[in-house]
Amino acid sequence: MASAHEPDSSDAVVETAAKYFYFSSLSEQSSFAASLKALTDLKHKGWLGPENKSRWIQVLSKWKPRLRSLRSKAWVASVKEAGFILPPDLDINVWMSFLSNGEPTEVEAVLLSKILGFSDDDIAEGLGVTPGTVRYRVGRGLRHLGGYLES
Amino acid sequence: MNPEQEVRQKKLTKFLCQELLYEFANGGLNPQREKEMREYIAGCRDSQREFERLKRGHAFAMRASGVRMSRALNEALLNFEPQWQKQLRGWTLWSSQRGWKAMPYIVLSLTLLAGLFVAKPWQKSEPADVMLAEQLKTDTNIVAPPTGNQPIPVAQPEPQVAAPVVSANPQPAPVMPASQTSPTPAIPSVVKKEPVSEPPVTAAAKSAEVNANDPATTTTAPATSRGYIMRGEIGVGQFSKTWPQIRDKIISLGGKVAGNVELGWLRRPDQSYFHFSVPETKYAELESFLATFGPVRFDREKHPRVMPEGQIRIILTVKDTNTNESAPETP
Repeated sequence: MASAHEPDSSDAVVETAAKYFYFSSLSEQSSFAASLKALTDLKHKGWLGPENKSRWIQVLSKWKPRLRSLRSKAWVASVKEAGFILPPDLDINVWMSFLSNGEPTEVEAVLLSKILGFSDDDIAEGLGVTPGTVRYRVGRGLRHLGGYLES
Repeated sequence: MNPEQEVRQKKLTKFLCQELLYEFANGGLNPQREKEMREYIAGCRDSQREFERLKRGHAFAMRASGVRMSRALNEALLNFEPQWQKQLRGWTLWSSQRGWKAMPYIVLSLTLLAGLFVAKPWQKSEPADVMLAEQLKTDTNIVAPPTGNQPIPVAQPEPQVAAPVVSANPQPAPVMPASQTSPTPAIPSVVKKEPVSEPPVTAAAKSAEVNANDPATTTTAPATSRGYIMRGEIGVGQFSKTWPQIRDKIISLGGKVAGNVELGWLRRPDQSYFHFSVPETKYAELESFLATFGPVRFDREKHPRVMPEGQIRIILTVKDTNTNESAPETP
């Protein structure tokens, strides 16, 4: 199994942050506000480059707990259309169930590893765990996610 | 350490098989363990079901990874700028382009604001027509009370009257609005003796004094150096017809009653008494009018009461020449 894509372009960090917060909240406005915060944080620390992917994860994880309380006033003025384009065969309700009922560490591991395409080593370094733990969480998370697809 | 290495020596169980499914799917197991896994999964329905779940979950994650950002969101995040930074940038741009042109207007505005702040015109009341009160210049009739600062007024030889309405600079002085005047208003005869500030009426008297010293002024009007009164007398033949004409003329010239009695008061059946104030400029016209009835003579007498500038006070007695009796002049 290979990762979907590698966020190695110049604006990869922008897309990574936006998708990370979107799949963590399924709210475009909250994800927009949190992305602004995280990107500002990364910019001030000089971690926007792709060589700092593990640090991206640190910053994204830091802002994730505050995701629900963030609302950007600039959201309506800046984005007047849907912020994310979903594939037609993607049932986002499955992910919503997984997000609501799944183990948070497994959800985050699946998100970082399979959806955002981070390597296990980057995730392990960013989250402060071993790569084996990352693979364990991803494996269990994928099995649980598949369980939601059955229902 | 690879989980497969940890369990290399362990016998493959259902739990262990399910935990190694992700490694098995990724090809992370050695050939021996992979063969064992394949054989175990073939004989275990639970492991087969878990393996199917894993593959479905992975397929879903791959589809989810196809989510893309819209261009608007991407640009909004890339080019995001806080509102205060936008305003600051806009102001900087404006000031660099048009700031110097606006500099004179800014300086002018600031100057006007500073002037307003210093002058405080809103703290000054608007000028209004006021009635200047006649006031005694001498304070010989004022007796200071034993305690307190307010002097006690004493009886005045002349009735207290109000002068005509003139425009004057409003000051906190004993002045009365025109609407509050009455035919015989009670003029404050109290003069507060203050060495520093003088009441405006006194100032007006001083101004009149200055005008009296001017030769040009003295040639056109009676002298106004001090308080004075013009006292005159005229004898007429047809008394009953003449005194009303004189009264009407005085009124038409702007004369106003300046005593307690009405204009042309018949003190006696053959004497009419006029005590009035009239504009100084009308004095000559009045005198020429009276001359048409007979010889008239006005004497200027000193009087403690100072009239407002431009006003003179006249006491005129019209007598019937058919009678020769005399009577006291003032009521």
